[in-house]
Amino acid sequence: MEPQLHFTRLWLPAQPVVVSVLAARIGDRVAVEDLVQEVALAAFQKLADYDETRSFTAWVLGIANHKAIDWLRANGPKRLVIRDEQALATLMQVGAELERDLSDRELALHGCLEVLQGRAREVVRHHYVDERPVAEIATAMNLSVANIKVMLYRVREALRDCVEKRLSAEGR
Amino acid sequence: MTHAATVEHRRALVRGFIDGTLNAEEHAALEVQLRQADVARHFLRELHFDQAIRVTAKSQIRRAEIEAAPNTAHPVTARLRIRRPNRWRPDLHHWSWARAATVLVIFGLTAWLLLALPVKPQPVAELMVHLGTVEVDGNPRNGASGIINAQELLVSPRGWASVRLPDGTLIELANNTRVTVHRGTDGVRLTLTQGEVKADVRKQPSGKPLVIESPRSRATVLGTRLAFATATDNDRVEVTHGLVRCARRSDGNSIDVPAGQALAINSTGTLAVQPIRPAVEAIPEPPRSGLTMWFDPAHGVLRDERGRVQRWSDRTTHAWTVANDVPAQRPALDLAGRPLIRFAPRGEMLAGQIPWPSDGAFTVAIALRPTQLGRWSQGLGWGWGCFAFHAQEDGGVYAGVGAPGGGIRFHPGNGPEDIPPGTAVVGHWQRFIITYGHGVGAFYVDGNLIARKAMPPPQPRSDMYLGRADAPSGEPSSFAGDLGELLLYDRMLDPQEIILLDRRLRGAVTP
Repeated sequence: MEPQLHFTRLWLPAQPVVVSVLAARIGDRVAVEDLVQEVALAAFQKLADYDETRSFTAWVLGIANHKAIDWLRANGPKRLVIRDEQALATLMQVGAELERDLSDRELALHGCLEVLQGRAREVVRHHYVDERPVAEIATAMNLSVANIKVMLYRVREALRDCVEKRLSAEGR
Repeated sequence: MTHAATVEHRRALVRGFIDGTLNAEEHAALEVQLRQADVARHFLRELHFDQAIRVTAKSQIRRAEIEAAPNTAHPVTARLRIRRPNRWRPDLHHWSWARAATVLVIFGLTAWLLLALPVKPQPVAELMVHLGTVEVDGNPRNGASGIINAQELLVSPRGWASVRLPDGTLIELANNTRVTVHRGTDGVRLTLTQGEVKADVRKQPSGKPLVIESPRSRATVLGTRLAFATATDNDRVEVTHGLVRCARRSDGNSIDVPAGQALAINSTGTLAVQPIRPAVEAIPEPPRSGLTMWFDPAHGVLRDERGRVQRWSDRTTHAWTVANDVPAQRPALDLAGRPLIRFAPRGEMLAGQIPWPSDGAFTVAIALRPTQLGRWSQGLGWGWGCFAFHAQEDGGVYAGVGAPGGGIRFHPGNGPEDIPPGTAVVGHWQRFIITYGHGVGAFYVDGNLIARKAMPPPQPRSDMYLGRADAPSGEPSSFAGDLGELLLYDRMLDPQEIILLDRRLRGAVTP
């Protein structure tokens, strides 16, 4: 099982970057989930080709890029997505630098969401868990659309602050 | 536009992209901005942050609601159902009884529907990545997906899988592993009924340890790295980092296993830790070029309900398989140290269809430990005219291209082309490597060249046997020993490769 464990340890920090870049490229959340898995399997099967002296995330982003191109050829974009070549090149470049950053933030977020209470928790639930449109949330909570947007903004900022504090407390 | 306004504008564009509210012009502006590294960095962070909130919230909030209402069959529905119930208060005095009854029926039906509608359960873990088939409650999964509380995962014989818990704990599932993930108010519990898991456990909340258990034993983990394997006759826990408390469930006896130590737990006997055996990764890999068959007891073994080896698949991409349909003739898998296949002195065997290489040249490598020597003991191969191997009472060994009447092969004797008596020794692990090419065979024992002689090329066969249960008269009929590893190449390995291969075999059978 050791090669798999080795691969998984390489893959986990890279995965958030792959997800984000694919989300920017194809915009379809369900398709992104499928493609991420395809990228992981392709990377595992080609692991012998990976040069350990180079960034794993950069290497796996190359695979993700090809998968995204194939998917877009077959399905076309479902919404406005990033297609500018220079923008994509920059995203791939900075993505490789962000692997540990995104992975650490994701884990820190676990402790932050647990402390959300009251309306903040309710709006997160409606928006992120139930994936309801903002207008529908506004009706459900007897608030205006603008109020919901402000609440979501504040929740995100609070979570961001919480994540930063947890990361700095852990010395990352 | 001031710098602050520019930054704010960029942020608004990024947010708009995530929310899907940008028009074409704004989208084009965003793409231009994304050519700058700092904007691209912010963009990826925001995309990821939004996704992370979604995934984490789905896991945590729903779970918290379920845990908060453990006696409610459908707590989420119930919670939604009570929203604004008091706003509507009909004055029944002004209504006819018929209307009131209708309203009550509608209310009743609505409430019943809301309670009866199935609620989509929320995941307690995530299947991150897998190879081969992973069945979840009997249904094959394809791709990353959530694992619901109390679902059972089964990894296919040639597969593996990686599961992550919400706190980042990583669980690796080996092939043939069957495990159920439970999450309750007292923490996470992995119930292992077959196979092996390796876990890299994040620090667990106080009073909510991660528990890995089999029907026989239970390991309580607070934050560490460990491997837990269960087999029919024993469980094994290896702790790489941290401390794990292991308990035998039948009598409650427990012992703490610190880092670097391992514990084997059977039904009875004293619980005692011992240093972890040499890691599998420390064993050198064999040369891969020309490797056509590689049987390794640490991989691909499927056991029956008695714990006997029903099927054994090799590690090459061919997935050659040897098996035995007769339960009484199946050998055992010993897991006390590094896994090995144990054949009783008579009557146990595995066989399968494995084509002999057609190029003529070959290398066969065997790691075995005889438990009893006799006529035709330690027999394996493809039969007369092809490759065959066995020992005899005095420890002499026959190997090479056999043929009726003796053929031209290595045989016991005292000449330079012979294998001397006493070569096979009861109770000792031994490595035998036989190469053949350009009409000449060579016989190595424990890395040393013992004999060379001319031989005819082997005839292609495809019936491979490890031991024999009911062999034709005069042919190998038993194995009587432990088999550590068996490899076949379709070429003659060179001396450097022989050294590497011998090191591999030595590592594979080191206790």
